[in-house]
Amino acid sequence: MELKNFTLYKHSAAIIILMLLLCFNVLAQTSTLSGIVTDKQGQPLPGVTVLLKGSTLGSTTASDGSYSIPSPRALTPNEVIVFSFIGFQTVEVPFKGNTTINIQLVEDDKMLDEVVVTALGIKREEKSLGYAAQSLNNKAVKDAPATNWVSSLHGKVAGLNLIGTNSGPVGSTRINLRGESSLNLDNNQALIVVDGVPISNRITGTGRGAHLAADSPVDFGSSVSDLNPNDIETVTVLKGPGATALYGSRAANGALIITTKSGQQKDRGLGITYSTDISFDRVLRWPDFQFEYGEGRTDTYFSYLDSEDGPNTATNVAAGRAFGPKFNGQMYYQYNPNSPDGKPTERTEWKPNEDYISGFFRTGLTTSHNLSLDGSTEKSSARLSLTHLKNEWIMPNTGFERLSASLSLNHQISEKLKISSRVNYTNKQSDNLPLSGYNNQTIMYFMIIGTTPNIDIDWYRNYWQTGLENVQQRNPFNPGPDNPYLQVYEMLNKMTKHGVIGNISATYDFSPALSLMVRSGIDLAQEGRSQQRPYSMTKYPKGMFRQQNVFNYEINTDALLSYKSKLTPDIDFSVAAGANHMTQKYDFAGIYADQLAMPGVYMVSNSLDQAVADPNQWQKQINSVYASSQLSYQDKIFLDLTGRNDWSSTLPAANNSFFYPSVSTSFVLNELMALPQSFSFAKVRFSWAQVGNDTRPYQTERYYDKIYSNSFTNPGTLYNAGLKPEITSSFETGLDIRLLKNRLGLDLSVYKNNSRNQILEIPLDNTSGYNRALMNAGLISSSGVEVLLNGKPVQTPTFKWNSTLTWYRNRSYVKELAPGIDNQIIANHNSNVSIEARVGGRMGDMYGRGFQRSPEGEIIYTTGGVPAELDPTLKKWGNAFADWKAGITNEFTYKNFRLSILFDGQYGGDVYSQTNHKLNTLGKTKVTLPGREGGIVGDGVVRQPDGSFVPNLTNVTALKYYDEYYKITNAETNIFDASFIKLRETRFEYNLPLSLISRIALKRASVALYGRDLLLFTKFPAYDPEAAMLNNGTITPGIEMAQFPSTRTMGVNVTVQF
Amino acid sequence: MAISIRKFYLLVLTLGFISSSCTKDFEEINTDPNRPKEIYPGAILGQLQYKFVNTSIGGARNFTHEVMQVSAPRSSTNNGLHRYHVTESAGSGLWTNFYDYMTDVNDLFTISERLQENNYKAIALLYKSWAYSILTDTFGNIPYSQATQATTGNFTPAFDKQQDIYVQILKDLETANSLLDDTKALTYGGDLVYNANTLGNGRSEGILKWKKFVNSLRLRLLLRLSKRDGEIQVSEQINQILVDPATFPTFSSNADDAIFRYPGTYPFFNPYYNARTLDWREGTYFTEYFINQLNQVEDPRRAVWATQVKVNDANVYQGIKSGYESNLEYVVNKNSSYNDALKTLPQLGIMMSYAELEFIKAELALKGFATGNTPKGHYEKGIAASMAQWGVALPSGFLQKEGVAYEASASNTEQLKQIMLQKYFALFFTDYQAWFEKRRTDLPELPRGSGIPLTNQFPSRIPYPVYLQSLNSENVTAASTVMGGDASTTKVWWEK
Repeated sequence: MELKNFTLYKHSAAIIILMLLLCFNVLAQTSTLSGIVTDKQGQPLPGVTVLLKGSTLGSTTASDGSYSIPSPRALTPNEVIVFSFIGFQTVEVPFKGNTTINIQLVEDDKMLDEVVVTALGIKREEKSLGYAAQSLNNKAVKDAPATNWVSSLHGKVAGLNLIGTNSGPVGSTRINLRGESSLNLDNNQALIVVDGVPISNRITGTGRGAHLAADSPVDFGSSVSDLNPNDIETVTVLKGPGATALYGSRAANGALIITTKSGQQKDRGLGITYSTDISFDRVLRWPDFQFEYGEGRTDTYFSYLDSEDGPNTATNVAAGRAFGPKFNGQMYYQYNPNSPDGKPTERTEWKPNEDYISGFFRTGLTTSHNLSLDGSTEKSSARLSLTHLKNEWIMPNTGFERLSASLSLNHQISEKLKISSRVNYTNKQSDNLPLSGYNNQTIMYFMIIGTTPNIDIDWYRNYWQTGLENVQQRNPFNPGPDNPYLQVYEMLNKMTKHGVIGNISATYDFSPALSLMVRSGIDLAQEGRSQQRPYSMTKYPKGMFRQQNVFNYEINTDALLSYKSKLTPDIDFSVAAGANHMTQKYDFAGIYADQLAMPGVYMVSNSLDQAVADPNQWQKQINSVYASSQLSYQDKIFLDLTGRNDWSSTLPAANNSFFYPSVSTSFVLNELMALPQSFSFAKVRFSWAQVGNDTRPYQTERYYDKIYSNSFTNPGTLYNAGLKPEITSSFETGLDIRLLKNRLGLDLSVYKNNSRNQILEIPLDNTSGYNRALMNAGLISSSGVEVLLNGKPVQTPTFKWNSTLTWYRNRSYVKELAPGIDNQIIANHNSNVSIEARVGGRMGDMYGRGFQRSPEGEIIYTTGGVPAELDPTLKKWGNAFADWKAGITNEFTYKNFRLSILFDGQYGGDVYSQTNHKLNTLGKTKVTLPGREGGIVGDGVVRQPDGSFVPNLTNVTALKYYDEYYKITNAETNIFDASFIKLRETRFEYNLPLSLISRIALKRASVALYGRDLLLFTKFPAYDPEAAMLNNGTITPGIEMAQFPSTRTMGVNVTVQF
Repeated sequence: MAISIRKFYLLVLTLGFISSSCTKDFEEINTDPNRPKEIYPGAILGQLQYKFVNTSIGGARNFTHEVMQVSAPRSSTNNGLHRYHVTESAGSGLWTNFYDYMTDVNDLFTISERLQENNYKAIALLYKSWAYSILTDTFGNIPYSQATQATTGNFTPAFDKQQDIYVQILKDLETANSLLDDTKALTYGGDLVYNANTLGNGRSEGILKWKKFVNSLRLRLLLRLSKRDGEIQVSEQINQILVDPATFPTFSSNADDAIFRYPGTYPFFNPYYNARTLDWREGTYFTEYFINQLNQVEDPRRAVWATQVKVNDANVYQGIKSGYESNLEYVVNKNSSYNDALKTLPQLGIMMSYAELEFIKAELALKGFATGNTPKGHYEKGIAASMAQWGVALPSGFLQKEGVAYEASASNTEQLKQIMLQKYFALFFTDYQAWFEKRRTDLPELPRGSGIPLTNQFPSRIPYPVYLQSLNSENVTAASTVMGGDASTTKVWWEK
């Protein structure tokens, strides 16, 4: 059916062009062009823009549809005249010498019949869909490119929640659609499909946690983050299970369907496009640092090592605190950069270094070059694209390089057989990616606790002690955090990755009605990594060297049979049935030398002890059969039915087969009933779907875990031999209205998802022998609203203004957990704050302790004048997820200029900030200034022995007060509202006039300036409210664990097309 | 069209057939290629020994040392163990870890039983008894007979009474003694404590040492139950061991020390090897009480345990107060703290020392048991053994120094004071033993800091971890009621 329409339009366009060609006589010398523009019925069309392409020469039709363009020069043959009018298809007519061009415009319902790539790569007309699907074109990921293209989707899709980690140059992002449906954070990401084949968004972790683990996580990225935005043609977001039921298990949380570019068939011949981006990154925002007080726990003096002024206040546990004396230009014994041990010989002036933190960071530089060739013949089309990207990140000696090559081939072998193939190859390489999180060996830990405003960052540049190079680091102040320059120049985390995403497919048309498509696709990556740690690190006194080889792939093979026919003249019918075979394999081989025999020699062979092997392999298979059918009545009512049965290797034999159906329908109201004239289009849609899900491999039997590399132990989680599949069912309804000849469009969706039978680990009393047991339990219910509003407030021949607004709100509630359990911890930061699912609560609720309060609500203080021990009862202090998110894009086109501006933001949502907690307790921020002179009497009450309360009158030092007030266990004072508005993207583009560039054989040339994240408005106290914690390979929202600063990017793009 | 439909169905059938017939490999695919389903005792034992001792010395450092005034925090604005404020979380590390390990102990026992490996079986019983004794002495009534039965579906074990637990522990130790056979080595290896993995001259020295450990531990526990003699046959069992050393050998030299000697190579590092200076010695200092007594007799163990500080240009050992007022804060690095050498010291992994046994025997001798030596003899051997254990030479004349010299003519109470003071030093880094002994004997006599609120009492136990309230509430409530409350002041059965 969609094919029929498609050919129809193609035909009508061809006929018009043919007619026009016939009308023209060859060659003419007159310099005035005129004619009449009419519609299909022959009625004159006023207001049509007639423009000489690539020039400003043009005019508009009068009320009788006539126009005339006086040209100061003679038109040359093959110059193009463009007829455009809102609501009609734009027609381009080459000048053939005839000065009179009469033309008939055809109404443009292309927008209504926009083709959307849905599950399994099936193309569907948008109006036939019974579920929400939002499409974005290449511009969306290219206008203001990010090193991880996923970040470019911010603010553009209603219902899409991206959570970045700020964990380094790769910028991994958690992709979630329509809220959290599973109690397992890793299960809530959307499925990413490239050219019909699922790929992985999994970050292979380092096995390390973010908070003070033996080592720290590195963000190495994933197959998804390595996709090259230059090769992306469209991204279709299928938001709910209704849209994705055919993908089965993994699409329960929606899917991003990516179609990569292929050779263009329309203008035959060779197309060459070259584009380059150069962008600069600066730190976007700093916490509100204070530069008034220097290092110490006492404001009476400062002394580097012991001196006549008093004991050392700079290099022991007191170090790193900025509760020292005020900078008044007084003279103290301070660090002496000119002596090897830093020992001062004379007093120097006590003054702040305002760049004591910022001085470490540099301007990041990302350069990218893309060359693409495409072309087609009658039977084949091909596209080849090469991209090189190099990123030098804002931290010295960090960044990565990526080379992408992409090839797309389509060939019609015979009338009935068509084959096509796409291959994307990525080579990503880094000499050093930074360690993220809060730990002795992370940069941000150093920035938080290692340094104070009286320190010059340059004092750290020589990071070895003289004569002890490679053996003993120099750490002149707080000895806890490792020297930051040692970190970036010696503690290297290297990687080289080869990734291939590709597919081959063949389609055989048995008859016009029946065809078979067979496709096999792979996402394969081989990644070599190493981590080296020098001698004298806190966590690795004898250094360390680790190597990992990570090899993983997923292969999907599909066979899809489609048949379509007309049941009656009014009813179109199509049916498709297929089968899928999916194999995932993961092979991780680590070899570790956790103490080195010789310093500075980073080889496994240099292991002091026997090097240790750490293998981890797993595999998984899912076999599926599926079928779908579509019925349409007069192109006005559509009905889709799908069913899929999966057999998963991860579930016990008795429960490994599961079936799930979906039904969706849409009604084109403007064709079914009389609507006011202003309605160009109106559609209502309903869908209901179920999706089943399996689990990780090896959960159904008892295994022993390897421990300490040479022994075995019982795992903490009790296996379950009777697991059942998880089931998510969803209901969605939506309304799609376009008004005033498509100048205003509204797409509204409302949905409700229920996820039950979740496979989750319930907590056990560990005296039973296990900490957790694997169970099917729980019910999470999500509901939400999504709004997509399009407007074209101004549309004149030279000036156009398009505006798009996205807004959505989701609520996921915990309805049930396992019997007898009313609370399940989803994520935990050392019991200081935890994200808990509590029956009746919202997903993402954050619990922790807060102040003890009197019946009147006042903070209770001890007789010592500090807040009393925290109330032991855990209370809810916030929620990790936003109340709503919105984005607004405005695009202005004036002649050859285009300006696009995207603001986006969120309202609500909370983040526990480890950065802010620690900066405050250490006196680094302005909020800790009050009370520095004369102390603080905390606002609250003191409990009397008889139980009554009297106001607190005890004065304590600022150090004592803030240390207690903001202490790590106090969730009340360390959780912050993460609402924000960002000027997310701007692009100002100039397309060089065709008249100019055609002389040098260019088809298109443009220059653009762009910016990402230029402005941030928020009350969040740390670097960026878009924060999460990278914990091993899991991105945990709601907790910020020593985030890196986020960046403001400004760049320039040049594109030329031959 | 009809042809097409027929073709369509035919092809669908083929597809369906192909894909549903592929599930027969699933069992193989879903078998973990990295983790075994069955293991041998040698693969459990070593890691278990390492984990157990790491937790137990952690308990010494984090809990016992502060409660027993070995060390105190540098600053403490609120509460604190040294002010006898014991929170529910104080024991959660011990509780969680020891119970976690107990699943492996059970496996060690059942697997060795299947393999008819009595020596492993006995070692499993020993670890079980050692660990449960520490747990019950710390918490009182605890899950024991129903513990570690999740695989059979019991997720909420009932708590046993301490008395019942002790009866079984003592029985298990007796069984272990009879199971241990020193003509056989440990077939599957894995022993990192006594290296009983090989035979020498037809005998396994290591197995004999395990036997000595079993009986020494039994003496430790029997002595602990002194007040409950009669309810359990304490004296009788002590005599059974003392009169028949051939059947019931006990530690006879430092070579018998039940110490996990950290090899300092991956993976069995001293758990403190990479502790941050901040955590290791900048937040905690030895107390005046502890360090001054060592200073007084110039105890050579000081040099192993403590750092020196400069006072008036002299390097000295100097301590801080315990239980001090909350507005006091000690200057960093101006008092003695834990020596950095301890972070890599192999012999820090103490489970039970020969020195402790000599002090046990000294007390038994004082009580009139036939230990084969005088209280003084055992006392002096105990001090010498402790010196040897920490790698220092016993200075000549040390045992005659005032404050060390044993006053055999003094009253029993005074003699016991002397024994218990030296035992207190000898128990440095030995899990919670010094605290248990203080609860049993009220010795050594610790001064009470002026910052300890009047209402706070020296703790007799640690309250149960909070999580039990949500995951096993019925049983924990019942246990508390039986015991007389879940407070830190509630006395356990043997202390009553």
